[in-house]
Amino acid sequence: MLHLVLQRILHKKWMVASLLIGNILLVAITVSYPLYRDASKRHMLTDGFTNYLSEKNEYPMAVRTVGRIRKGEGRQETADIRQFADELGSRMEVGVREHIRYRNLVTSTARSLILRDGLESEQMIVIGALEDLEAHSRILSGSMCADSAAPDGFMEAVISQSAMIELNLLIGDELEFGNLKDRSGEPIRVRITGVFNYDDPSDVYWYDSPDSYRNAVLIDPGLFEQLFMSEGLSYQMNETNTVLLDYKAVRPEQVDYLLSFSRDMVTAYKTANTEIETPGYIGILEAFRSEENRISVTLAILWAPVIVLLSAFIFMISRQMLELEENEIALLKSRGASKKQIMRMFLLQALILSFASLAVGIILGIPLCRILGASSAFLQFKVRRVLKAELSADVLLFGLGAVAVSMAMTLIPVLRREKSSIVDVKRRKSRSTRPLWQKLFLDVLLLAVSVYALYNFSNQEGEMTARVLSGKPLDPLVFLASSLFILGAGMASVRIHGLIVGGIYRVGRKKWSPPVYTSFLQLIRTRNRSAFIMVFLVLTVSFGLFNMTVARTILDNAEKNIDYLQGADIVVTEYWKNNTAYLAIDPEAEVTFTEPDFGKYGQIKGARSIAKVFRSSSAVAKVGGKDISSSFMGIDTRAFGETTDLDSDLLKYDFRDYLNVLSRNPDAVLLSSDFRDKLGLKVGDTVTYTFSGTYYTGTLSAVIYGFFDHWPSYSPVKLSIMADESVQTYDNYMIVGHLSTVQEAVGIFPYEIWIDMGGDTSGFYEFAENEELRIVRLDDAAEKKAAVAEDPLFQGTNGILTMSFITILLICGIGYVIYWMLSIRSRELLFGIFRAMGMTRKEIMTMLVVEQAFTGGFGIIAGLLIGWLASRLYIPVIRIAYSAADRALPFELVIKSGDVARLMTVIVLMFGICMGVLVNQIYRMKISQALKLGED
Amino acid sequence: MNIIETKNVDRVFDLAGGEKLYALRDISVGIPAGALTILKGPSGSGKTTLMNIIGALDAPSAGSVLLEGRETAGMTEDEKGMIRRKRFGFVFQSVSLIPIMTVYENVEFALRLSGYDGDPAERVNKCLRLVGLLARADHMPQELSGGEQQRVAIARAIAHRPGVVFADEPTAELDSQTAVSVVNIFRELVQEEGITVVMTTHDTGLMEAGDRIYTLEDGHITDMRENPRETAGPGNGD
Repeated sequence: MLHLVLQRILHKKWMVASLLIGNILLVAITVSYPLYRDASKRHMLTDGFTNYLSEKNEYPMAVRTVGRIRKGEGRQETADIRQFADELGSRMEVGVREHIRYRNLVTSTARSLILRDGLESEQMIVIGALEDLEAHSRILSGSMCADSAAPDGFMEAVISQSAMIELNLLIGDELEFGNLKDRSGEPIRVRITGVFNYDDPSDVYWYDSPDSYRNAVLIDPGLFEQLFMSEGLSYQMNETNTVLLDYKAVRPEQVDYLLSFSRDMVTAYKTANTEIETPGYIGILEAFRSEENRISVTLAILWAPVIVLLSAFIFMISRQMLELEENEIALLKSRGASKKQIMRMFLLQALILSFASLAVGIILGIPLCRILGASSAFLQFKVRRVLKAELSADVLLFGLGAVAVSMAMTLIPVLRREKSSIVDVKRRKSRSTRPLWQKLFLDVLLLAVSVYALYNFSNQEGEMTARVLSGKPLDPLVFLASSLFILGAGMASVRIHGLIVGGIYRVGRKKWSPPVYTSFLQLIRTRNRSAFIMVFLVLTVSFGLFNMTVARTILDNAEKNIDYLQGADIVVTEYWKNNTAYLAIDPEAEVTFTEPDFGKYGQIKGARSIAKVFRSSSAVAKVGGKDISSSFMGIDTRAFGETTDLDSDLLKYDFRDYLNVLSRNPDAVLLSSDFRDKLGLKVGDTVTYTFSGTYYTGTLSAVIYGFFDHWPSYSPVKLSIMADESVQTYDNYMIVGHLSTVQEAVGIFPYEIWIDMGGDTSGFYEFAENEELRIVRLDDAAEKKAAVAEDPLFQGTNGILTMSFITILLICGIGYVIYWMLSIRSRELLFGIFRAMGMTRKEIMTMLVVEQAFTGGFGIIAGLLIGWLASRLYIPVIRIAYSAADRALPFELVIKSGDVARLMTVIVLMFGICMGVLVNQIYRMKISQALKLGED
Repeated sequence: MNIIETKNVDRVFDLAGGEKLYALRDISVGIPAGALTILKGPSGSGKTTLMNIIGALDAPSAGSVLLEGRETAGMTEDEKGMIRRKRFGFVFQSVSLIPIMTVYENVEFALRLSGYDGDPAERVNKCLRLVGLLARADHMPQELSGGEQQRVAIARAIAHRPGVVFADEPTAELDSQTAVSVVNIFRELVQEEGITVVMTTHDTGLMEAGDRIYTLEDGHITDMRENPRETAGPGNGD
């Protein structure tokens, strides 16, 4: 049987090759989902920790336990929590990088036994002991403390540099703690023998820097235990265990456990004598978990359509293969093969194909995942950091799932055929029944559901925004709705296609020339059989266009928002020398800032223009007796106009016109349009406003020369989440006036430098380095855009949408060509009859062209329409998932002509191949031979 | 008068390995107008090949074919096509109906192709009545039996009032009773509509129906016979 199956596979090499391509793609794309998802998660988790590290300059995964012993109580609890800390690594299943144990007695009065000038005779000092201190520190002077008391009864101690300064202690100083008595009732006495500092500043042991021990004298830990912790003693002390966990080894799948474990431990040890500080990493893990959820769901939904299309492709090819094999099956049956044997044969064939695909698909999935990780925009790739694809049980599971789907898709047509008798087959061929989905009105149902979902989402935009802002995943139904819409509309378009073709046919039934007449009959009478390829074609084109538009639009809108909100490629604030320090001495002194040389900015390579922009976020306008808090921007109109730009459709008039109007009067201002719309101000009104910073306040009266809806860096509304998770929208008010007027009024204060670099900001860094620029604040639009492109969500979206697009083009091309080749081959006899009846080749070509135009042409047009409509309807909602907060600019659908051209090229190529095959077949055909075909 | 004549026609097929197969050799036949000519012979004798050449579906390798006195060798494919669609009608051995068209549409299609200028419905109904299938006009071909399909094919072949109807083994897949009724239809056509019919068959029982009978064996004409026939009276059909 295996031999037979292999022979069959070899025999239909083209079909099998297509099927194999479909299967391999299905497996590869399916497994690339868990591969990419997990790799993204690992990146996100690591990023979470490293961002914490760089932002807070604090080791990102530390647990600190505190045990307190007071008046004889808490000894047991302290021992318990100590044990807990000791076992923490193994209980959390995370490696321990460092365990720092610090014990200290509560602060106690120490009397200096050696009196020096300036040394307080009594001060509050802590006696402590830091384990492993010697290994991690360097003695700056003196020596390390001994592990036992000196012969004269003194305990040796070391101190940090800060303690030396803070407590004003020197080596050799002696302290007596009168309140602390040893067993024999003598007060504890300590002698300072050395000053320590860290040996290596990057040593994580110094989670608490030596500065933290500024009021402590540290004695040997063994000695500390012996002195203060032996049975029967009742010193009041604290024991702090700081466990630094190896965050780099934390894997995404541990996060849930770590979170619940960490939360539980905080609660469990919150007692009178013990405490575990809420670790900072809980925030990191929580942020990760909500983001992880969002990413998983979003990616899964992005992945789904292409997997569905691939399954449909496999189903279609299998069905066609089966049609070709019908005679063969009949032959096998007539030779005595039972239904079971035939089923087994198909099963074996499907198994061979599927498992071959599984192996190849998984191997292919890894580079595919890497390519996804390198996508920077739609159909663009750039390797920044290599995504590490790791095989996991999940990957195999997804692969097996794909195999199961592909097996089902291959075997369902066989099962359906096997159930029906030969008579049924003949009947089906003559008057094919309507597809099930048409009978069930599935298309109408899907459309209704998707449109209802859209309607719902549009009404709940606020809630959705709140969800996303608070890190929850966007309702998956949003994405699903768009897919359902495309699916429903695709199916409905086939219904409409039937009506259109039927209508045209009826209109000219009497007049149509024989080829046109035949085409229409062919279209009408076989429409139920061709419904699948039609739906497939419509879906591929519409998903292609939709995917393309989603990817382009989301990234483009995000980038435009960055450009708009920043205003220029580089916005930099330099450090200005000033006399503010002097204010501590004389609060009444006049503050002066020294303006750095502005001319030097002219040297930046690649800078097109530079503008000074003075901004104050705390301005107040007096309108009708009310104070309206606002922001203020002082500009030099000419430079500002050269450096920034606004799309003309964002404003009522051209951006430059606003600047020209403003430049006419030094006391003119432009206001954001909410001043007009919410407060009723008009052009020509006078407005009084106050702007202030830490060291200046100015009040000016100005004439309103205009109102703007958008302005570089101006966001009309501000969103923020309330405690009840609703989103509150605040209007942002903004006043734009002249820089020179401001400077005349209050003097010269630090302003921002806006630089137009034509998109490439590298020249600025070179300049900053050469000039040793002291920068207070720097915003680089190019860097922000790169960060967006690297965001796992954006990157995954671009990657998967690009991949889907390419896959769709591929399977659409193969699927369509195969369908047509088979359709034509199955009609060879019919063409023979037509030719015998005297139809010319040209007429037969005309017939096929009309047919193609009405299937393929219609499919493409319907697909483009549906894709466009779906984009129009759903992308505004989908965008919320990506940039809920960035909505300074109105939404704009981005369809790049180059992308459409790519899509169309492939489609035209596909049709070209079909037509080529047709022409070849028609011209090669010998009527007498074609007719003989029918005699078999 | 012969409506079609062949003169010394050869039809040679190139076989794999450079060999040549003579399907027809030196064939000269004449098809009398308004009569039923039968090409008879066992399978493989070349009768279908000959009919395809006479019917301008195939071209001879050597020799010439005269169609109403005109040499076919000089005609283009399209010219031959136009002759076929206007002047000829074909009935093939196997099912030759167009599966996407109903019985009615199949017959009507022949009228469309030939540019028939009368009332198509009337003509189609008449032809279907002639073959006794008017009641099944709206059926799809696949819903008919083999004999019924063959009768529809005949109706289609004669619908546009062709000069010549070619029928290649029209009875091969029919039971003998149906075969007789099919042949009777041809006879009626010849007698009532004055159509020329060329038919191939290997069924010796049908020879009586022919006006002229050529016998082929191995690509040669071995016999030509004519049945003298009185003009049949009306009502002699079926």
